[in-house]
Order: sequence, then structure tokens, then C-alpha cells
Amino acid sequence: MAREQFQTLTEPMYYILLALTDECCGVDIMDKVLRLSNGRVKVGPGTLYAMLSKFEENDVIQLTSEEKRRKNYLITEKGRELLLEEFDRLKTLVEDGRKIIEQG
Amino acid sequence: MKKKKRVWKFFQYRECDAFATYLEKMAEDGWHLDHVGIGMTFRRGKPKKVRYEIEVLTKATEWDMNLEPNTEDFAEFCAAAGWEYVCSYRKFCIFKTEDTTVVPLETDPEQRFENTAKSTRHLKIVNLILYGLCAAMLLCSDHFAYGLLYTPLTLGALLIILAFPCTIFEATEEFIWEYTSRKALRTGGVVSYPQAKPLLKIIQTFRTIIPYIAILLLCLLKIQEPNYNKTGIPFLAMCIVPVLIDFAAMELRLSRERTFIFRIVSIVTLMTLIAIVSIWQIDSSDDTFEEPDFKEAKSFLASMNYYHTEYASCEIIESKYDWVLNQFWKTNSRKKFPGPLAPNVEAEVSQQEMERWDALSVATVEFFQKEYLILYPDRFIVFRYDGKITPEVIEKVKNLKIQN
Repeated sequence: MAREQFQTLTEPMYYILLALTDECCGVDIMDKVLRLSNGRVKVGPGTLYAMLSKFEENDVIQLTSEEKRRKNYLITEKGRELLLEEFDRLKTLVEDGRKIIEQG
Repeated sequence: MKKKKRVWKFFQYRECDAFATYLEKMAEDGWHLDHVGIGMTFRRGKPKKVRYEIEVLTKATEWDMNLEPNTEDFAEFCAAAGWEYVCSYRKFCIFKTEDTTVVPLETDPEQRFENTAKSTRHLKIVNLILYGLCAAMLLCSDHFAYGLLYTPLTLGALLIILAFPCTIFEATEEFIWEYTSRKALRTGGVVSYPQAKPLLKIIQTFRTIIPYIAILLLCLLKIQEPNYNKTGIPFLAMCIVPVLIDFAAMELRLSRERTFIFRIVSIVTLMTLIAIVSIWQIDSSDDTFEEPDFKEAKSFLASMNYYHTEYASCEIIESKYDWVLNQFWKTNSRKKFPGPLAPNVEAEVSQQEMERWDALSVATVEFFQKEYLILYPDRFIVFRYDGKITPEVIEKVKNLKIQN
């Protein structure tokens, strides 16, 4: 199910998963994504909230701890696999592009 | 000068951008949204340029009128991004900010569309099923004929039947919007959430208020009854109490749990009242046997008189409309004995009786007592009599008049 749904990760999905390779509080992810992408990718709170629920439902991330309303998340093994697959796919895209664009 | 004002304006999930624009315009005029209960309450403040955004939160429910744990979680995310929580009701979550650089609530147009479409679609499907079932029950029921004798009942039924095409219209409109929006998203276009077209707005309003009008009509019907004090007051309470409790829960903006308790209370109240009404009716059954409630009934479609003696009874229904008389024919020609396994009894058309009664059609059925169903061009008669039908009896029944 998760694999079908997240066959190609969107840019915000990719960065959210990158941000969660270290345990991170839900509300801090927005800042972390902004930092990781050098201010290029902005994730709105609505989008992030929905995506975290979807990731959690599909075991892509897990809730590690909860204090008051601060929930901490971490990527799961399954999520890491998805992230690596996407990383490889993007690398292939870049490599293929390099052959044509940089040599031509 | 008024410090607060209430505005009767309602928005659908699909109008969330139009809703936000409306709130921004009100803030520019110095009216800032305080909360939403029955209608929207604004409080007066300084005219300001405020940016509003509205999220349709799929985790919330249609019954939510205040901050719930899910909404609170979500509000925390929004606060971290610079959005101030204003209020929430149903699945609407309303936020504002004065900072123009803050990231929008939704940066993924597809996600926003899915949230809005899912919430709207659920409502449309529920409405379609509910109104469809009500309309089907009224249209297909053989037992509604006697309802045609009461103008409020007939009008109420007509309104409910009319509401069904409205829900079909709304569902079709929703389907077209979803289809075009999905297409726009696929081709990199923008999905908009503007104010609904006036026709759709009128239809939605009509469909929403119909149940309340139907309840009002039923109350009117009860007030007309001769023994109004016995059954009318509990009946009115039965109709009005749940509606009042609903409105109160909305206005007080009770939490999900409290609203649930409120609804339970309303159901218990309702059941108690039904029990009281039933007991009263049993007590008074002996009194009303000789003088039945439906001795005379009259609507704009038909009128009925009921004659009763020790050995015979006779119902005469007069109407200018063939379909009304046919409806009574249909209702009376199929009888059902009490009990779940008891068979249906169909009335049999008799050529011989038809000639005897000089009627368009006559059918007979054995149902506790022998019944003659007699159809004339302008009246329908149910004559219950076990004795011998003589020309004198026929003449007597034919000469019975409707007393208006």
C-alpha cells in the first residue's frame, strides 16, 4: 500500500523524510525542511500535518515520544527504503541528464 | 456603538477562499471574527489588513463546534508557522496573521483539493441517500393516501420530495467540480474555491431548511386537531426539543463529548415523550372510539367523512383529482393483518357488484369485517358491513353526503 501510494515522492515528502532521519518534533520539521533546502522548499502546516498522518498510517515514520502536545517522529526502516529508492531514482535522473547536457 | 454583531452567512467547504476573502473584507471594515455558533459573531476593533486562511480538516467531524484534540494539534503546527488560531466549527479551521511573509497553510494544492473534495463529497452522498430514501418512502408508499387529507402533511411531503432533485443537482455539480479540478491539477492548473453560484446557493438553502419547514407543518397539523391538548403538546415538544438542543449545542459551542451527551439527552427526552403520548392514547382509546379523530378531514386535495353505526361503518373520500382517489383505492385494496408473518389480503374486483353499485369499480375484501371498496368519478367509499347488501342499503350509502 505505502509503496504504491508513495511510488514517487514529491519534493516536500522527500524533504520531510530527510528531516526525519534524525528524531524531530513535528512542528520543527517546517524549519528543518527550509534549512535543508536552503530556503527553497516551504512546507505549509496544513500540508505537513496531513503528510505526517499519512506517513504514520503507512508505517513510513513512527511516533517516538509525546510530551504535552509535542510529538516526536523518526523515519522507519520502510521509510528509509522509500527514501533511498527515491534518492537512487533522482541520482539516475541526474546521471542520465549529465551524459547529454554536460557533454553536449 | 455596537461592539458585537452576528451575521447570518453560511459557506460550504468548497467556498473556503471566498470565506477567507469575506473575513478579510470584514476586518478591513473593523469587524473581526470572534466565533461561529448559529451564524458568525464579529467584534468591533480597529480596521486592519488581516490575512485569513481556512483549512478543511478531514480529521474533524461535522458535529465539532470547538477546539478538539485533533484541531488543537493542528493549531500548534499553524502557530509554529506564524498563524493565529481564530476558531473552528465543523471541519472548518480558521486562522489569521498580519504577517504577509508567512507560508500559506497548504503548500500542496493536491492535498488541499483532496481534503476539500473528500469532506464535501461525504456530505453530498449522505444527503443524497437520506433525501432519496425519504422521497422513495413517500412516493412508493401505499399508505400515504390518508396523509393527503391533511394540507400540512401533503405540503411537507411535497417539499421533501422536491428536496431530492435538489440533492441530485448538488451532487452533479460537485461531480463536475471534482472532475474539472482534477483535470486542472493534472495539467498544472489552479483549483479555485470561490463563492458558489447564486442558483446553487438558493438550492442549498432550500434543501437545508426543508426539514425545519416539514417539522413546522407537522406542528401546524397537530394544532388543528380537536384533542390538541392531549397529544399536541407532547408532539410539539417531540419535534421541537431535539431541534432546540441541536441549536443550543451549536450556540454554546460545546465540545464533541458534551454535544454527544446533549444528543443522548434529546433522544431520551424524545423516547419518554413518545411513551407518555402512547400511554395517553391508550387511556383515551375508549373515549375516542365513538367519535374518531378522523371524523372529518379536509385538505386542498380531498375531504373525508366517517359514518359509524353498531353494524357498519363508511368512509367517504371526495376529490376532484383521479390520482388522489386512485391512491386511496391502492391503499385500501391491499390489507395486512397484524403480525410479521401474517399474509397480505388483496381486494378482488367484482363485475357483479360494480353493476349493483353503478360505480366505476368495486372490489371486496374480507378483513375483520367484509369491506366494499367503491370508486365513483368524484368519490371513493370504503363500506364495512357483514349484512346483506340490498338496494336500500346501496341507496343509503350513495346518499351519504360530505359535510364541509
